[in-house]
Order: sequence, then C-alpha cells, then structure tokens
Amino acid sequence: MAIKRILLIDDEETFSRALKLYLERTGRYVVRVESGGAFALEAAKVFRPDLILLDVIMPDIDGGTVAAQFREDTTLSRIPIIFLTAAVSRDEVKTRSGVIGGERFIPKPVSAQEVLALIESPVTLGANE
Amino acid sequence: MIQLGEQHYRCVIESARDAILWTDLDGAILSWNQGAAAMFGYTAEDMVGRSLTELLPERFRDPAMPGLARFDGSGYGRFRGTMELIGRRKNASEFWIELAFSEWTSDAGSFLSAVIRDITERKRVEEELRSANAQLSERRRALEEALQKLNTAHEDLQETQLQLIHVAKMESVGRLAAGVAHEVKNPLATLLMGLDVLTDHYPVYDADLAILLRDMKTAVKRADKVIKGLLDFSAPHQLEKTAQSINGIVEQALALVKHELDRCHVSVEKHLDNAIPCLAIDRTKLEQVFVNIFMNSVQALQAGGSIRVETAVRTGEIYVLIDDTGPGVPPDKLHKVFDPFFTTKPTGKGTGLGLTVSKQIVEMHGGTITLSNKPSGGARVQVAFSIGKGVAHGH
Repeated sequence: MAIKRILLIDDEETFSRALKLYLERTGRYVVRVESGGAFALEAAKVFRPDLILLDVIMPDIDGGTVAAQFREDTTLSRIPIIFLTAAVSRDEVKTRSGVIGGERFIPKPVSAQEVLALIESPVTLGANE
Repeated sequence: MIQLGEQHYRCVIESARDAILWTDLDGAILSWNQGAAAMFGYTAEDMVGRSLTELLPERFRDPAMPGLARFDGSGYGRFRGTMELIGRRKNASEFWIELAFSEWTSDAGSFLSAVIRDITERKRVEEELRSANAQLSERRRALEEALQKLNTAHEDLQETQLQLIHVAKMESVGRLAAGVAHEVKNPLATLLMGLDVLTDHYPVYDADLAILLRDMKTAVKRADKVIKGLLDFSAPHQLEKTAQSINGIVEQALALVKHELDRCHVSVEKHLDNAIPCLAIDRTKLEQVFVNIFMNSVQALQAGGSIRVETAVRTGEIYVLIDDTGPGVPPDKLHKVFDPFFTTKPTGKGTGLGLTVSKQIVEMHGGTITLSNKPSGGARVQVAFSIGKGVAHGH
C-alpha cells in the first residue's frame, strides 16, 4: 500500500505534533504540518497531499477561506478536505452524520482511532487504494 | 318674669317662620298661623276644620294616620317627638318637613299642637353630604384598588428584576463558557492524541503505567463532557419549533436511555395521556431535557428501582411528572439543583450542568420545571407547558 500524504493545517502546534507522530508511526502516512492558512496553498502545491486536515479557527486566515482557496485552484480542488476543529461539538457532528454545510468535520478532542477511521473510510482515502 | 297675655302669645305664634297649629285628637286642624300659610300656601280659612293629613301628599295620607297611632303607642311619648315627612303645598309641590307633636289638655279638652319646619335646605345639605361621603368612599375604594395594583406591580417588577438579573447572570456564564470551551478543547485534543500515541505506538510493559494512561484518557473525556455541557448552556437561544407530541418526546428520551435503564435494573412505569394536544416545541432540545432528567434518576437508582412517568392536561397546562424511588435530594440542596455546576453526584459522575441546561430549554419554551422530594420518598420532577403559549393543532 502506497504511503499517503496528509497536509495538516492547524495553529495548535502541540496537537499537530502529536497527530503527525501518531499517523506517521502507523507507517502508512507522511504528514506535513502548516501552522496557519497563509502559506497552506503554496505548501500544498509543493507537497501534493492526498488529504487535507484543516482547522477552522486560526489567527491569520480561517479554515473556511482556506478551503475556498483550495477549491478555486484547479490543481488542488480535487483533494479531499476534512475540518478538524474545536469549534463544533461532538453532538453537532454526530446528529449531522459528520457533515455540516456540505463539509466533513471531526470535533476536537478526538481519539486517534476516530481520525484514522475517517481518513481510511471509502469516501476519503479508502477509495483511492 | 314678664307675664304675657294671650295676644302676646298669638303675636309670637303668628310671627314664627315655622308652621304652628293645633288639632283635635282626630287630627282636625283648629288653628293655622301665618308661618303655616306661607309654608303651605293655604290660608287659615282654607285649612281650619280639615285634616292634618291633607298637608301630606295623597300617597302618604292613609299610612300616616296608622303611623301616628304607632308613634302614639310606641311608649316614646304621648305624641311627643319629631318626625321627618314629605309635605305638600297648595300648588301640589312637595317638600321635606319636620313635624314636632305634643299633646296638651285644657278646660276645653285634649288637643295636639304641631310645629312644622321646612327642612328642604337641611335635606339638601344632608343629601350633598351623603353624596360627598359616597364619592369619598368610592375614591377611597379606588385608591385602595390602585394601591393594591401598585403593590402587585411592584411585586411583579421585583420578580422581573430578579429574573433579569438571573438572565444576565446566565448570559454572562454562557458567553464565558463559549470562549473557555474552545480554548480548553484544543489542549484536551493534544492530551488525548498524545495519550493515543503513547498507548498505541509505544510498548507499555508496566501495569501501573497502563492504568495511569487509561485514567488520563478518562480524565480528558470527563473534561470534554464538562465542556460539552458548557457549550449546550451557551448555545444560541433559538428554537426550531414544530408541532410535536410530548408523549413522543418522552418515549424517544426513554429509548435513548434504555441501555442505562437496563444496566442499572431500573423499571419504567408509564401513564401517558393520549388526549394531550401537540405543542409547538423544539424536539431535539426537549429530548435533551428528558434524557437529562431520566439520567439523573438512573444515577440516583444505582441499586435498582423504578421511574414513573406521567403526562396529563390540567387547567390549560400540559404536565410531565417524573417520579423515582431514589433517595431524593437533601432538602438543604433543593434550591440549588438548577444552579450551574451544582451536583449531588460523586466526583466525575456529573457535570452539574444537566438541570441548568434543562431549565434554560424549558423556560425558552415558556414552561416551568421544578424538582421536589415526594413525602413518600424519592424525587419528583415536574415539567409544565402552557397550552396557550405553544399549542399547535391536533392530537
């Protein structure tokens, strides 16, 4: 199985470090962390991720704007995006089957197993295998 | 003392403004002075020999004589005393008179003398006084009524003020909660992810370390639960109202806690009134209310027991009564049960926000929620909604 590339855009550096460590320890992923939205687009063009995990509330640009920028860029628009944020509650995500306003969400705090399950689901990276 | 002759007495009588006359014991007039002539319009020639009762309106004449007889037999006096009557002038006009009688005897026999005074002015003043008194009483009554209304308004104002203070307090707690929640969830996310890294990717050979890591995960999840409660509390105060059956919401809430009911061996007795009307309510939020109430009961019934749920309509309100057979709430804690972060559960078992959020949701629907201890033991939660405030149609 080919190693998948994940771009994690989150200003919470300690969380990003822990998630990167967890995912890379599985041996199935390589993770690049961006601590803000300002350089996310440029980073993605260089890194060519298979998946983007994106925080919502960030000091420079909010996650919604970053996602819109990705979708407007024809070279990046097909990359799946999952919002990973403390801005939504577990109940909100659960009652809407993980999709809010057409976007997929993971609420923080979240266990690594839940993140893995969503990443590897058929609608995310599972379909590419 | 000056001795006066009959002529002098006659002058005194004739110059008096009052009507002074005398009659025989049958009431036939024998003497009629100038005062009487001026008062009634009859001359002495007109009246001498006629009955005294002709000075009264016709409608009073028949009753007047028995009245005089009663007065005579009353023991008060031998025709001594005064009475107020309606008099009638020659021109048929009527007016108030005061009639003073006395009986006297001379060589010629027994006679009655009568002094009649026109008391029209006195009566007018008395009537004015009575009217003024009545107006005064009416004004006093109106003032007392206004005072009562003022007192009620003052009490309402105090109540509203307390409610506003409560709302302001709750809103400030809500704003604080929303801000804190986001800032706390991110470090919790780091802790949880770090613990997953340790447990899943690093071998843990020490049993105590494994327990420690598990406890740390539990602690993180507990903190997250508190944050969830805070977010519920600070959630936007908007309701998505649709016509719903309270019975359906109660049933759904019971289904959601079924696992916990079974696990703790808690039986449920339902008495749901099928005749209660639908209400315009937010189903999800009210399910949350009843889940909170049922979970409180379950947690109070760790050794097993039962919950009784009743729905009913009474005097324009829909009631939901939830009784349990648990230990109830200590009486000195009852007034605090809806306060944020108040809990009687063991540390870690409750956030202290369940009933606070429930109360907030019920009040957003214009309803009330109370918690009390039953005399027979156990706690009772009563949730009530006014049918007028949120009634939909149909059953």
